[in-house]
Amino acid sequence: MRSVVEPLSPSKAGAAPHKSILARYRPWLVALAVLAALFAAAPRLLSDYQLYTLNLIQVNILLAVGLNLVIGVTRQFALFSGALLGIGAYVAALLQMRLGVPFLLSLPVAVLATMAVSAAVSLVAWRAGGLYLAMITFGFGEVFQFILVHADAITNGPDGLAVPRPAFAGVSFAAPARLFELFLPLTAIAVAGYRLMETGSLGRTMTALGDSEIALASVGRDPRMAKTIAFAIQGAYAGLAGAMFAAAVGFIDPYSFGLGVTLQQLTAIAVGGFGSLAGAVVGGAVLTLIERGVMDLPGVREIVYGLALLVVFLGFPAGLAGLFSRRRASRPADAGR
Amino acid sequence: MSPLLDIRGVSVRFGGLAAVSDLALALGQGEIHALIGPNGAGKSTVINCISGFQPLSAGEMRLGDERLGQLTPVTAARKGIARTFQTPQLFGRLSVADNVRVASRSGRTGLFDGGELIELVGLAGLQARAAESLAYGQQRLLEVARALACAPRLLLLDEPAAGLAADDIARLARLLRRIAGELGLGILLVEHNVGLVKRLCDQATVMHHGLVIASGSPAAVLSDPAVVTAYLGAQASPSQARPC
Repeated sequence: MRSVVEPLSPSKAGAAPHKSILARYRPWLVALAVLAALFAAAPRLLSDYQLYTLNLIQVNILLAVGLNLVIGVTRQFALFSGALLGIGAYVAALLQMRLGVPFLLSLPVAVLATMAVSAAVSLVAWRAGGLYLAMITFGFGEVFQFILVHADAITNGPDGLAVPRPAFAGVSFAAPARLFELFLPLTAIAVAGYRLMETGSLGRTMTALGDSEIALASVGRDPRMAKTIAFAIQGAYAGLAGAMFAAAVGFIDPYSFGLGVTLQQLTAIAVGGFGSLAGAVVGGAVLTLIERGVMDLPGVREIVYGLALLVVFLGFPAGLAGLFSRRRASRPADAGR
Repeated sequence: MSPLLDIRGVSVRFGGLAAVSDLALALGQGEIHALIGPNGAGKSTVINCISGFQPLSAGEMRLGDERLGQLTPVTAARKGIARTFQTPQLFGRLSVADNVRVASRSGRTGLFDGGELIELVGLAGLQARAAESLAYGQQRLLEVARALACAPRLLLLDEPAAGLAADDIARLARLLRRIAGELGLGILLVEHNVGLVKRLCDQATVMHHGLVIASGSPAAVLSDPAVVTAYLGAQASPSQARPC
């Protein structure tokens, strides 16, 4: 019997008209130019503190991008970003400290380890959803923190670990400027990779999972596998962020990876706009700046987060990304599109 | 020749409630079969069983030579069973084109490509629109296009004409007749639009309280006194009645 359908070819089904190569890749070229300028200028123009803040911004952007996939796109309410960040940080730190593994080699191991743990936790999401998944993953984070505190022999317990400054082949990355030069390409590649994923077949499946699990199953795509892939990707981003965090700060302890980190990231993707990559990037950056700005004022951070969420949910629920796209759509030049 | 879909002695129980009792139904290749009956008759439960969303309590289902009944929805879909839902289940944030793309199987060739499917169901020009922004009737049509994009052997449609305008119903009927005729696809549809059932379907099965009360050609079953009493209402003329 013949099949009823041929695969949908982009040329026939896509609504986008044919564009020149330059127009098609313009956003990528612009992003590349901005990154190149940042890469060249920032270490020369900014202070160590400002570069340190930029490094933390990149950590939080990676964390927000991963969390955004799971919560914003696939709508799996998993609340263990803090724990995943901690796994990446501790794996990278312990590899360097206990086994003498160079920082650049500890990075991929941290990424793989965090991916594996996150993928394993996704098995819970095969059965539990909504509030149950939120509570179970919250519990996972608490247990993880408990283990960090009590496994003194490995983690040095609540006293934490002084992480050695990264060095590779005789080159030290101790200065924030050197770390920035190392981090920026990694972050750029990770974000670009996410963009490619999100606009491809896997990205469509991820969005479809968030919209209707039963419809996804009805077209022969396994929602459970899609969940595991989403969790694994989140783990990869959090693992990379964790290893970078340990290197940037130089010290880690169990209390750096609790529910507070998860809630901060949740606020970041809410402010940026659930489901939007640009929103996750902007939200991660904005929340880092807020945190740095009010870090010496006890309690103010939580108030600012609360106010930010109130303003977003009452004023523009689609977040900063939604606000931007709404304005762009309302411009006369776009009205006829 | 054995039927494409063969259902024998199927029962489904929800606790003490018999949703479907001892159902028998056969559907051949290229045949369009209507499953009709009042709300709560068990029609959607049958669709759910065939597509793997509801396990059977008893009985047997076969698609060609393969046993169904205890499959997962994913496995059922991969065996060639596509479906729509009583309440449209679209990928709302994806575009119309992407809804069909998610369902498309790579490497298969056939009569239509996904873009043509979208045109055939009457959604031409809406490929880039987010599915959630479509009108209710358009969402139903998109579900049909998406189900066809799965390249199925058996198509299960749960009230595909609900909320559609007359023109859309006529277009849908032409499309279903065409794919059944040209591709040998079996189609089982739950439908309350009696006019459509009479015009489109080769066979009809009427259910009431989980039991089959009549089966045969649409004209015959719709004039069956038991069907008139249970489904259409004793006073109503079958051609006029259109329960919702």
